[in-house]
Amino acid sequence: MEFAEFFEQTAPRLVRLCFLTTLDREAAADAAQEALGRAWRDWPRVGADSSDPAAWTRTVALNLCRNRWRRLASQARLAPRAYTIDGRSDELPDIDLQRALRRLPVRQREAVVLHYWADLGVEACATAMGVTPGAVKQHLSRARQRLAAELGEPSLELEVESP
Amino acid sequence: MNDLRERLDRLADAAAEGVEVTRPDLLRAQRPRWRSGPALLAATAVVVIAAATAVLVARDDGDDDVAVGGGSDDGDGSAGQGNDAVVAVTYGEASLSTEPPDLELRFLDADGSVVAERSWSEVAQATEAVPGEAVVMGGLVQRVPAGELSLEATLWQAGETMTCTQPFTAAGGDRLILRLQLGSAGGGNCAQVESVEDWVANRSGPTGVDYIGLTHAEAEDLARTARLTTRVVGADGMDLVVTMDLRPDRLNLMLFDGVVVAAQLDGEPALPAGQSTLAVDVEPVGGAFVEGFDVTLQFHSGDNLVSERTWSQSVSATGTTAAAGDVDPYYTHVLREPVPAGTVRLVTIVRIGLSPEGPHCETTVDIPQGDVARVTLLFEPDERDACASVAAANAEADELLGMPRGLPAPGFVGLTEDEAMDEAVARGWTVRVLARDGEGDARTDDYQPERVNLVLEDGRVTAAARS
Repeated sequence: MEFAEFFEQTAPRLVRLCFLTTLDREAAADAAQEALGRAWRDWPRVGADSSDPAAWTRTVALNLCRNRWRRLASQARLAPRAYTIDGRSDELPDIDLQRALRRLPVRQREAVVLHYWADLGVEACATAMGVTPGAVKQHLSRARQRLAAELGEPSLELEVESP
Repeated sequence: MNDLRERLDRLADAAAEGVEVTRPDLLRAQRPRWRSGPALLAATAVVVIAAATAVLVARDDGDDDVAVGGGSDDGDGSAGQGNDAVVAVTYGEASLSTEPPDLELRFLDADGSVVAERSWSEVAQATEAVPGEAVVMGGLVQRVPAGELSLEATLWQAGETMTCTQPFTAAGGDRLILRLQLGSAGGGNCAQVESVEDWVANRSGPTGVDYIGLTHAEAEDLARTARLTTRVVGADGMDLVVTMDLRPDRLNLMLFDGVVVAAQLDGEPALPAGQSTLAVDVEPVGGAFVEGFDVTLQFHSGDNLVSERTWSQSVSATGTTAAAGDVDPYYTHVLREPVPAGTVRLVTIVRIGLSPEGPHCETTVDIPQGDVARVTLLFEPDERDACASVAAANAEADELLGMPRGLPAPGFVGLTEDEAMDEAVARGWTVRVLARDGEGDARTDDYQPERVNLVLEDGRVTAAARS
């Protein structure tokens, strides 16, 4: 796969993933831009036939998102800050969901987003998060309880994650 | 569960709208030319003052509409692009509950043409608790073209109509407050004219200066990360009624046109009159810092050495000394040095371990009274000559990194210069090229939100921002 094609397929979803895990548009754009820059730098390896560039980039992006409070500049930044963002952050929908996600610990939020939004199984979540599948299940279980309480959706508590 | 997925989808889609990331292969590559090898760094590191005089007070929130009361800028288009002033009208005192006056306002230009018609009801927000009464939590903001103008106010009160006119002069970028005295014992003037700078004078503390220029939301976010709470004590020329309790972790914000113009912690002394702040941080361009690195900072005003600091001492003084080998504080620390308003010359001398000190690099920064200017020190290996040349150009740090400061300008990156020109014209913006293939063009520091600044590489835009 050419990098350009990979970028077109990956970038929009990566920005969304980063936003849902950070709830910060600028941090999301910054992390996505940087992760894609790193994928491009190592494209001969990352984009090789035997590899999964989307998973690799997702993991890098999640790491960057997790450390968003540290300035990305303190790491070896590979790409200029070339993202642009319009100024509508106050107008995002579903305040209740935003609040509920914000109240989740970062790891629980990551697990929820990867599993329920990105449709990853527990194993894939574990790979992306760099933790064991058991830890993912635990994060999901606790996150469901919190979300059920916050969002008033008891059905969340009954959900059983797929492997 | 599908419901959760759909809600996540909707939220993510909304957040991603308006966000554009750029294909890295279309950007100017900024790969580190070396890794953090201490020996190599020690041999080659040269500090480059890539100064950034981002006088934050001048920042805009990106919203060209008026910021108060949900009203919109109903000007007739006569407001000149890039040459506007912002005026806030106040009437009476901010109060928790008052009967809204029937007050109409017209802004007129020198020819008597109406620039905008506004009503005080736009800022008087109805209260559910007391029908017929309203809360006033800020002045009425109007963007006006620069020039000779006047405010015409008409008040209907107790069956009488009172009208007065207050002339005023606004230069481009001015921020003025017109304090209406109509119907009060105002001494004859229709309104008192005051600058925002006078309104907020001595109302910022050393902590608060970092917040100046941020939007309210940005300031709240930043405060949250610093474990501070915030409250608004002044809005658009109007001082609000607040409690007098003392909470050292509370930041008092003053806003004008949606942007923080002063901020001060409860109980924190204000910055002395006549002083400003130069905030300095460090950022490596091509690598990382190493143990033993240090830089001396000398702050000069005229021929006087105002103060001298070393970076390591400044970092240590914060009490955030990291474990051995962890250089994070070196990156995250911001040194805030009180300096006299006016032109400040910053000289830096880098040292690494016992190696000879590096060249003395310097740059000058103009800081208005009470403002904060920011300088980012960039560390560029292998380019000893860059020190003098960059300092002389006084280039902004972000421009050197290929990203001009300012408001977002989506849709420009990747365009050719001609395409960018066409796009700018279509949006009613002017264009300024900040840098072409790594060479900075001459520039001024004036602030024009209707101008897009471009960085070009190989004929294509690699970065764009409005400022």
